[in-house]
Order: sequence, then C-alpha cells, then structure tokens
Amino acid sequence: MNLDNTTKSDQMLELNETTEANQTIKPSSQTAGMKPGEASSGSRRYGLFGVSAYPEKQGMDEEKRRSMSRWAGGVIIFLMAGVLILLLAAGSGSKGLTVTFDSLGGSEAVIQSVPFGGNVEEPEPVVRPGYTLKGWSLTPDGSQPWDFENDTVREALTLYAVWETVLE
Amino acid sequence: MKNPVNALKQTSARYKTLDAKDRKKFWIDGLLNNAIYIILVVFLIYTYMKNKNIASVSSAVNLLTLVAANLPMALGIGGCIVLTGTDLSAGRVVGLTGAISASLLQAATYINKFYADMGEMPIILVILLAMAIGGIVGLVNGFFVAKFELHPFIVTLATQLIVYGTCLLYYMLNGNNGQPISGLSDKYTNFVKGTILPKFGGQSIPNYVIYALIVLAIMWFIWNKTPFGKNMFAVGSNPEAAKVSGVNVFMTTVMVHTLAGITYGYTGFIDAARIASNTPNSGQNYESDAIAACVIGGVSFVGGTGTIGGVVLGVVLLRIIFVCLNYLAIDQNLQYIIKGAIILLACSIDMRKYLTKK
Repeated sequence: MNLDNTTKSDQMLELNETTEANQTIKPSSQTAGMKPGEASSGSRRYGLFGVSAYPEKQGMDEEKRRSMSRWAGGVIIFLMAGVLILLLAAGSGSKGLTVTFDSLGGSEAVIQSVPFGGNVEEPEPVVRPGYTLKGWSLTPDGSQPWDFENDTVREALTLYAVWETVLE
Repeated sequence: MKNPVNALKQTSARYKTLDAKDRKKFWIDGLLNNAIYIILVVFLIYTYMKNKNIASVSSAVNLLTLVAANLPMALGIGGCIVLTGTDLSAGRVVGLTGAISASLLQAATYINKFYADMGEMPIILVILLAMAIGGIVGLVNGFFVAKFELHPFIVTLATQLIVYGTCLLYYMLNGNNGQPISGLSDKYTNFVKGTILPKFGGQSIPNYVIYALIVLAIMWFIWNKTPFGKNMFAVGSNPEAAKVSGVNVFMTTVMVHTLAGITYGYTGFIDAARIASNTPNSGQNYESDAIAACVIGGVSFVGGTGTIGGVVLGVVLLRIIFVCLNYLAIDQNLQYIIKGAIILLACSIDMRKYLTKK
C-alpha cells in the first residue's frame, strides 16, 4: 500500500536529483521501463529540487536526505507566505479615494474621501442664482450622470454640477 | 469534471485506512496542496475586515467583468503553454488589433476621426478583421516554432517587437501622428459595453461577459471534443511519441498558435471599446497576467497538462487577488511586488504538488 507508493516516489526523486538539471520526470506509468539516468527526449522541466546535483552527503542515508529536502521545500513555501503576509499587512491602509465636487459657478461642496468600491454620499445641495441643480456628472457637459445609489468609486474623480436654467 | 461529493467520500474512506503517521502527512499535504484556496479565503476575509465594500454586488459584478475581459486571452495562451511554450507577443497583438478596431469604428461626427472620409463600417467585419490579423501573427509564430524548432519564447519575443513597431507606425498614419484613438461610435460602445441583460442588484452586466462565455464554450469544445485538442495535449506531453503515433506535430503547433492569435485579436476588439481611449501602449504586459493565470490554474509549463476549468479558475483567482489589493488601498508600487510574490508562491505550491505526486 503506502510503502510501495513511497518507494516509487523516491525513485522519481532520485531520477530528478542524480541526473542533470532540466531532465524530465514522466508520470510513473511512462517511466516503468526506464533505468535511472536514462533521459527521455521531449519537454524540458525545471523542478524545485531538480537543480540540485549534490553528491551524497557523508553520514546521511538516502532516505533521510530525500525526506529533508522535501521538508526544505515546504519550509521555503511557508517562509514565502510569511513574507507575503507581512507585506500585505504593512501595505494595506484605509486611505480613501478623493472625490472633489466642481459646482461650476455655484456654492462650495465638501470634498469626500471614499474607500475603494464605495458609494459617494450625495452632498448638500449647491445653489447658483438663476439655476436649479439637476444632478452631478463625470464630465462638465453633463453627459455622464453619476448615480449616487449604484455607482462606485474606483479612482479619484471630480463630479461636475449639472445646472438647468430656471424658466421665468 | 469529477463529482465533488464522490471525491469527498473517496477521500474520507481512504483517510480511515491510514495510520497515525500517514494521517499527519495527509493533513500537511492537504494543507499545502490546497494552500492557494485557503490563502484566498483568508485573504478575502481580511479584505472584508478592512473594507466592507468588497462584499457588495457592484464588487462582484466588477470582478465578473474583469474575468470576462481577461479570460479569452488566457484561454488562447493556455494552448501555447500546453505545448510547453509561451507567447510574449500577446499583449502587443491586443494593442495593434485594438488600434485597428478603434480606428475603423469611430463616431461619424468625431473631429479627429482617423479615416475621415470613411463611412460606417459593419461591426461584424471589424471583429473578423481583428481576429484575422491576430490569427496571422499567431500563424507566423506557430510556423517559426514548428518549422525551425525554435523555442516559442524567442519567436514570440521577436514578433512582439515587430507587432509593437507596426502598432507605433499605425498610430502615425493619416495625420494622426501618435495621438490616442478615441471618440468611438455609440454602436460599437453599445455592442461591447452595453447591456441586454436585466440589471443585477442595480449593476448592469456588459455584453462582453456574454461574448466571453461564448468564447469559453468554443474553446472547451476545441480542447475536449476535437481531435485537434487531443493532439495538442499529445504534442505537449511528448512530441516524439505523438509524431510516431501519427499526429501532425507541425500542423498542430501552427494551429495552436494561430488559435491563440485569434483570441488576442478578439481581445483587442473588446478592449478597444472597454478602455475607450487607445494608445500605442495599450495591451502592454497583458500576457504576463494571462500566463500567470494559466499557471496558477494548473496549466503547467511542463506541458501536456491543463484543463479549461483550470484556466477559468486561475483567471478568477488572480483577479480576486488583484481586486482585493485595490480594496486594501495598497500603494500601486507595492502592488507590483505583492503580485509577483503571489505568482511565485502560487506556482511553487503547484509545482511542489506535482513533484511529490507518485
């Protein structure tokens, strides 16, 4: 059962480690007839342990060395994951994206800082003599109206007031 | 696809037969082999804690659109990777075909129209043209790889430069002199970004999501149900054996690269409308995301392995990670480092799983 499986996998690792780098490992069904050291032509391969061509260390038996190098791979992965976590924790902040309001001649509207993917809060209504506020838009000409309910902020942006003349 | 319920039953039955030492090995191996999913779940939870907006409908729809934009390209490049190759020209082909698509489909009233006297071009013609141009670049790639047995890396490196130069020259035509090509016609924009689906939770789903699903279905059919697909995997795992078995290795290689080129042309057409303002740098480095997605999804550089589901999974995983990085308000420059580290980690985990398998 398990004993057989570990033996086969050890043979495969031996194939990988004792031959030159860039030799291929084939699934066991294909290597059935091959002797260790015999290379099969075909695809190249860079294995995690494949670059090691160290001669056997003195005093350490084959089994232990192989198991140690497998653990080394796992340890390296955990270390990489740890570094990544540190980078993420250090780098993540709560800086929001700046949303400025250009009222195009009307009263001031307060700048907002919105977290990524959040909605913009509809500002206090701005006033401009002789005009009524129709809404806000991404462009000064009013062609891209901003939907305060559904639109989300993905970059710093400026919203322009859309004015309509008051009919006398 | 394996039935996950059956797989779970089989695994738990096998677990019961293991002794204590092997059980420990089972958990450790299980942890490492599925590490990428575990990391992803933890990452999502962490992002949610920092910025609740990630759990919104708009965030999910945004993710869907990003996946739809990147998937066709990953599917194309996946074929090249199955052949133990790669394709560095992908991004520049997207840029060139995007420029051509945009220049042919500008609004009639636009002041800086590229082809000022040209009438309205039918969209179907432009999309076919974009795919044809992409296909021709792919054909050239495949031909040189197959005929002279050059590694795809060097061939696509060369074509990348050629395509980039062609793109730069194209932007100089007709008095455009390197200006961005924008002012696209409403018909074009609506075809790509408009929506025929009903709004989902207040968010509209653009049409290119539907088109991406169509491309996905076609590629699934090609990879799994055609002799060409089977030949592709045969050539990828062992070209000599494939040749001896009667597979036309030359034609398979050429066709895989041509198919990839066609997907790049399609991506260029969609992307030109999606980003609305096209410059000679559009499409730059797109291939790196596509290749990373494929490798994370299990299309190993060893060749001969890979599934459509794997490519989709890889694209989704990669996009989720990239989107989360934005929600965490991480500095753009640091994001590059983190992206690279994640790709390295994900591929190491994947390779380790392959190495320790019997």
